[in-house]
Amino acid sequence: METTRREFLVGAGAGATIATMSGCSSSAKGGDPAKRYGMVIDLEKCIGCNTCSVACKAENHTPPGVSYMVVMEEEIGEYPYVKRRFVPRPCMQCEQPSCTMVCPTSATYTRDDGVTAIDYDKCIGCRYCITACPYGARSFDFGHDYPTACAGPTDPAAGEVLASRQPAAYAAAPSPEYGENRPRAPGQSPVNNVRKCHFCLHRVERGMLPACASACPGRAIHFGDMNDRESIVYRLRDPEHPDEVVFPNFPNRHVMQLKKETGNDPAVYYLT
Amino acid sequence: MKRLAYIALSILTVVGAYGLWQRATVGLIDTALTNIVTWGLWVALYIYFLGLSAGGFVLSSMVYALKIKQLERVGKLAVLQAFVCVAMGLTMIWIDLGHPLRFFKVFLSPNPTSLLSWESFVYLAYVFVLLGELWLLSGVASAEELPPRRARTLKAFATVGIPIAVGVHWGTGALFAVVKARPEWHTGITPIAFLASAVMSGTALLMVLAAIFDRKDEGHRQCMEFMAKLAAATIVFDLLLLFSEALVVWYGGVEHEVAAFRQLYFGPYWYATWIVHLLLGSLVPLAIFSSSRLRSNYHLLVTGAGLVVLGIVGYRLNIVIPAQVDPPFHEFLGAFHHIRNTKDYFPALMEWLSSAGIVAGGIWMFLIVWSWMNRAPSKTAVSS
Repeated sequence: METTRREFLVGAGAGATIATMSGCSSSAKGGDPAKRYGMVIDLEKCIGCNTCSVACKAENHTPPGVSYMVVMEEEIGEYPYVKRRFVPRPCMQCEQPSCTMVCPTSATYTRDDGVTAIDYDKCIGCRYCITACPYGARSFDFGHDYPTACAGPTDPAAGEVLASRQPAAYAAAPSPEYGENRPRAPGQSPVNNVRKCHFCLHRVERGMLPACASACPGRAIHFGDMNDRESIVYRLRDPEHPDEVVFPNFPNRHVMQLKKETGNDPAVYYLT
Repeated sequence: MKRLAYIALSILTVVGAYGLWQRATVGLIDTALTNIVTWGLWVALYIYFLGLSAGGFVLSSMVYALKIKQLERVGKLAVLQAFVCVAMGLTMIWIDLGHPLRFFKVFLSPNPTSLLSWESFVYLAYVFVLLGELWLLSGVASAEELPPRRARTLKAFATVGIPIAVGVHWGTGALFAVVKARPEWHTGITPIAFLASAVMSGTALLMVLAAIFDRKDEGHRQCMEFMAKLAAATIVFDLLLLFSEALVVWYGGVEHEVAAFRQLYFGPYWYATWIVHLLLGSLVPLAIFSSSRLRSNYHLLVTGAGLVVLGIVGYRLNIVIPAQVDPPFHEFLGAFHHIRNTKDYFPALMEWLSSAGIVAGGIWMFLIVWSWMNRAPSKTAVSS
């Protein structure tokens, strides 16, 4: 059958579109596919001290308004029968993430080891992922900095730094995120990008624990490869019934995921 | 009156230019957006103008593809409305991006599972269709004056444009509908409601434009009558969708859905729903459009159309903002204190001014392209 020029052009256009659309998702994602990083947080051990939040900030140099790890506090009951509950909330590193599905530029993606990462140079800052995340685990970096306090109370330059919106020494120090060591500068990524917890990949890849797990004084945060039998978070899971999960290292404990009904299947589990 | 309008437009242009300059130089740090309400005025105006555009386009295609005679005299106006409004809408979302200069990455690195990614291509196709139609219609008073080949091309553009225009606003609604984290958006009705309100607001804006730019003869009155009836029908359909939605939420009683609706109807901005959207933007115009006695009063008719155009702003703000106010976890708000970790959002001055700048730019674009489209090349040919 003879192909007309118009048919050829239409076919070529459609082919190019499909190739572009499919090509973008098949790029190298990084991480070891044999691994599945996860966290098990023991709520009975959490004392709500926020050390994890502070450790995370110090590690990742997150600016004001951006906190990858937050501790949510809940008060249950009425006086005098009251109980406080603390729920540390990092990114859930979902098996079926809502954020990566909606990102228009594939800037946020799930690595082969299950960690959801962000390519800051691809992110256009549309914040669709923030609206889509059922856990509120994503923040936009509006460009705030810690100028005065971090420059020191006696530093005469502090006021000037605040006025010029230039980050002071502490804030300008490169963040080790994704091993990129980006210096912080106005208008430069990750400013005006969406940011999130990445299980401190730069530490994990060097054999260290994420900052939050490492700093927790109550040893409430357990981290590791859920596929590794030697790991504390080794997970047994029936492939036919992925909802049924057993952590052999935490026998006789009730295991839960936040907002299980969303179907996102978080890799962060809570022991209650 | 005309002079006064130009003075107002000039003021809008100057303050708007300042707002846009501020946006370009300072960035999003000067907005009131937070990590809870992360989409604000700009996103609301983006869907507002896209709706006005898609509605205008549907009406223009009724003329050039479906040959509906009653609307023929406003066909050109409808195409230009569609073009200018899509330009304004896309500029709104462009300045909302954290890194606006990277917008092209949407085309270079698309994500097949992202509706926003697909929509970007739909918007691009839509702009091309509109540019084609504008070019075809320029220099002629009506499509009947076009040579047969050009008329056929116009019909093809208008026909192909229908699914694209539907895709523009249905798809924009679907962007919201697929977000399961926001129960108020996450319903199958959302994309349909976007379409209904697009036709409703687009028709109303076309009535206002026709009242300004069309010749005031008997044909004009008939055309306005036709559009008023169409607008009335879409208002009824839109109200029906809202009622269906409210009914399902009320009977369902699902906690987070009820919370979102409580925010919408009884939250701090209840007046945007009840007064701006429902009373002034829907019920009053519906009463005017559906009563032949009221409709016969021309000024009242145009006022009704203007009310729809303004009332829809409240509707759009109500779609975007209340759905985000309820955070994913209530305890999250108390976890740390910062101006970006709050559910209180009211647009900052820069957001208002830059939006005004885009509107002013849109009006200038409309005036310039309208005069270009209505140039009379035959006259120069005669004189030479």
